[in-house]
Amino acid sequence: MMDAKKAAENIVEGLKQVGIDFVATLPDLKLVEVIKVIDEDPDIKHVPLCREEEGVGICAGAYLTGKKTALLMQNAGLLNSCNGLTTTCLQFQIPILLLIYYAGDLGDRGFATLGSVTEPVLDGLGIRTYILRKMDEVAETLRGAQILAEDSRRPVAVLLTKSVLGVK
Amino acid sequence: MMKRDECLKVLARRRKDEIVVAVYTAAQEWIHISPSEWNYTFTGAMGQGSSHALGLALGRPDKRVIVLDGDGSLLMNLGSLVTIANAGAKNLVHCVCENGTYETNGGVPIPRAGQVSFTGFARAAGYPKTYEFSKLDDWDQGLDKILKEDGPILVDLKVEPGEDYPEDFRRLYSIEHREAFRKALQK
Repeated sequence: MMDAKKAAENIVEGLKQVGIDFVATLPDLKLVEVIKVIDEDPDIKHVPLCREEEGVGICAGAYLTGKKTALLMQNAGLLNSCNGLTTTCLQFQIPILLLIYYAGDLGDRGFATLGSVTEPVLDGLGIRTYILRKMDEVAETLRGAQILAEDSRRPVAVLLTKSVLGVK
Repeated sequence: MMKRDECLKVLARRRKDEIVVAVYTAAQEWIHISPSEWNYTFTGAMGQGSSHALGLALGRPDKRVIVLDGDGSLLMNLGSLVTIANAGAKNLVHCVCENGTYETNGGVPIPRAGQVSFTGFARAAGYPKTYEFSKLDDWDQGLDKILKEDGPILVDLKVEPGEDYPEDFRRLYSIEHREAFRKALQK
């Protein structure tokens, strides 16, 4: 398994390749390295959040100024953001790449309830969702998801699992 | 206490090409008082106005962004004060139309109506400048300076309902206006 720092660099490189230049974040333990790499990258404007739903509004405003935006959070943050995603992104046709750490994924102790509602909630919102489990699929999946987000003018979700984050 | 529409008219007279993000009742009045392609009424979710304004301010640091927030709205997204201060958005003017109620939702008082210090919240969060106005003349005289100095700035406007303006949610939420706003920003 690749270490977390290299995995984080792999993910951020994938984001930069599709032109993402504005990322709002709220940490999960498993996302620490990704957030560090984003914060240190001079080509990405990083906005640390107090609550995930703020990121929906912030990314919407930034998108309308021409930025390509992503929102990085845990799946609990997705649940915190449902109204913003609905009445901002879906209502006003705003694309955001949602990068969501999938707590409660297969074999994960302690988050089974959260894990069990994650995909149904995304499905209920009509947000297309891709689960990333293989490191060598990161770049291609991020590229494809961003294309879908831009063309559909809707958020697209990529669920990040431990294996692509290089964490246990 | 100021009539809200009169308060907004003072801002409209001073406005040049600033982006104005307006929410709920303030938005319903603002689109009549200061029609402009730079009006942003596309926040949707309650409380998110200040967050949208931050995204606009960071995306376009060359333009001044004014948000006409509500007190109930800000309470719903109070952490945004910290996020905005942390982002150091110098071009952001955060006005709170403090009417003490959830006016659009039927006029029920907000918790601790009239006893909460929004300027105190903002200063504690790290806004370098805050102001409070309850008289139109003071607001009128203070505004020129506020529109020039570095922010983020919080302006607490003590207001009550003034004249009635026609509600038009379809206009506030129209994709056409949102697209026109995006295009105006790309000029």
